[in-house]
Amino acid sequence: MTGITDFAKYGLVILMFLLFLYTSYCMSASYQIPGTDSYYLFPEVKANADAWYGRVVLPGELDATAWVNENLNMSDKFVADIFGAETIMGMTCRVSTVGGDWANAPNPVKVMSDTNQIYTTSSAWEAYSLAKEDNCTYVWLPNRNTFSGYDWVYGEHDKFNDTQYFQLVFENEDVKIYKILEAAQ
Amino acid sequence: MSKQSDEVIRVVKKYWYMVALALIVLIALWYRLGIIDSYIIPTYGNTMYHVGIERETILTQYYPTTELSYGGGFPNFYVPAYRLLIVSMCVATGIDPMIMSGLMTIVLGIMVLLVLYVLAYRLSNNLYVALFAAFFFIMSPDITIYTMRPLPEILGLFLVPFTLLFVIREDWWLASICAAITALTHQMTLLTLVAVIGTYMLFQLIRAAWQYYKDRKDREAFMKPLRTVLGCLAPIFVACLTYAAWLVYSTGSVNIMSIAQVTNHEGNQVDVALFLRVGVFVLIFTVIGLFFLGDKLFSRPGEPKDPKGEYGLSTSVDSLLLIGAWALITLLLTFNDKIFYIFPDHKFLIFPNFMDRYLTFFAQICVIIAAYGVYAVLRAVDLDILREKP
Repeated sequence: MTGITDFAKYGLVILMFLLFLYTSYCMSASYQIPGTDSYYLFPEVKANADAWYGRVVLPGELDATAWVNENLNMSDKFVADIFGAETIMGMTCRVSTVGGDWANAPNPVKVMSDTNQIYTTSSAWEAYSLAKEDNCTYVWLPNRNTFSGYDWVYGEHDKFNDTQYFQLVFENEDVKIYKILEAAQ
Repeated sequence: MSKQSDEVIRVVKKYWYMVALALIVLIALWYRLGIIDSYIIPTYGNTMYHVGIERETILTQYYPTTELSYGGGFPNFYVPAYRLLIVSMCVATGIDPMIMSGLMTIVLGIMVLLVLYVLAYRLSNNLYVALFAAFFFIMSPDITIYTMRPLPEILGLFLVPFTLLFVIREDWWLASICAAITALTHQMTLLTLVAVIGTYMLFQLIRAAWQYYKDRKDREAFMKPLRTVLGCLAPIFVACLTYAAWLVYSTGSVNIMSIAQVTNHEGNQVDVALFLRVGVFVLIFTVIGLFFLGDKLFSRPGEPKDPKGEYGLSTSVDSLLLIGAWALITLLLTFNDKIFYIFPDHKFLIFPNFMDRYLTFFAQICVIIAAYGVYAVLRAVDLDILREKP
């Protein structure tokens, strides 16, 4: 490195690498990909990766797992969406209708459909029947959209207040846990 | 120039490389700190499911033979290496498995960066190419997405380049041990690794045949690639055998054709937008790197071209063939839905399957090829620092 030309050259190279970093982590822009309806977003690392940092489950759901550990049997089984179920699995080792690895699960598509229907139907009887059919003892009802393998749905929550079929046993601002009654009252 | 500025230049020349590498690692670390900066680890990708199996293993002191998934009670089919790694760290430290999963993701994410750095160096024998590979690691959105979540795939993303490091060193014992661990880490990683080594083996076989055809009297010229072919069989055989043994142990059968991921052909099509997730600049420099490497391959590689005493780049034919095998096979796996389009119902064996997941393994080799690309560009503008070993 001897002269002003060299300094300029090194300056440009450093600037190039800084520009790359800027486009990856700072620059805000979107460009339509030619020939498609899709847009490519910048800063490309953050714009693409930040979404994968999503937690989905709410803080109260994590708190509720402590109550599950203290009050429920290991054999209890939940109606829960994939994210709720995996939180229950991860923190309490209890099983739910869906969630985890579906590789060799018996009839996973049916239980996905059942779970989705339990959350979305307005019929307490239908939700109760499906939950009993899948041998569940509790319903995990988070105050967020649920995903059971099909769509993101908030669902119909009021039906779980039908005390003929369900009994509220735990509640915080993020989740309610209902016991599925042994027999319809 | 004054004595003082000479001294500054001397210090910069001595330490800039280490500072640059440290900065790259720090940027990778900074972005991944978000993993533990919340009440729960990132949940996309069934992360808490793995925590469940880890927690059960710790509580019962046995790796569970039955599942917690989908109602539970059926054989636990998932390979155990990643989970046992987390469990062992939890047992050693007393840290909760969820928190440990997050912490280990940060550690493994940095290890993926470092193994790509080491492998790029091993392939090129050039520290600048290695540094540029580390830089492109932090530039790739797709690699970032799969090295910021507590998933078995992150260990797989470490194990593929780590195993290939031993393949290129022709250390078949260590390559086989790593291949066995890969087989117990992540199924897609196993398929990728076996396919890459298998294709490399095929390339070496073609090379041996070509050398034999050219001059059969030059025995060493065709026997060397033939020995590599035989060596490659070891990790392939060990990986397949290990996975088969796990299948028989966990499910009593080696048949994977009935698993849900296969029957439902799980996976997302890789369109232009998704493909760009490899990284726009990574892809641009990958193209330049491919031309640069192609030139190396067809102009008597290994022969020193740099003037005597200058620090240069030396990529052997073995390295070029491995890079080629890795790039080709991961690209084919990424577009496996397109390749098997000619078959009835567009289906063949397990394919189409997990196209978007194989893209990450393609992104890994792109990071290395792009490093060659940026090296080529900087040599073209005659950046004199590249002539000196840092």
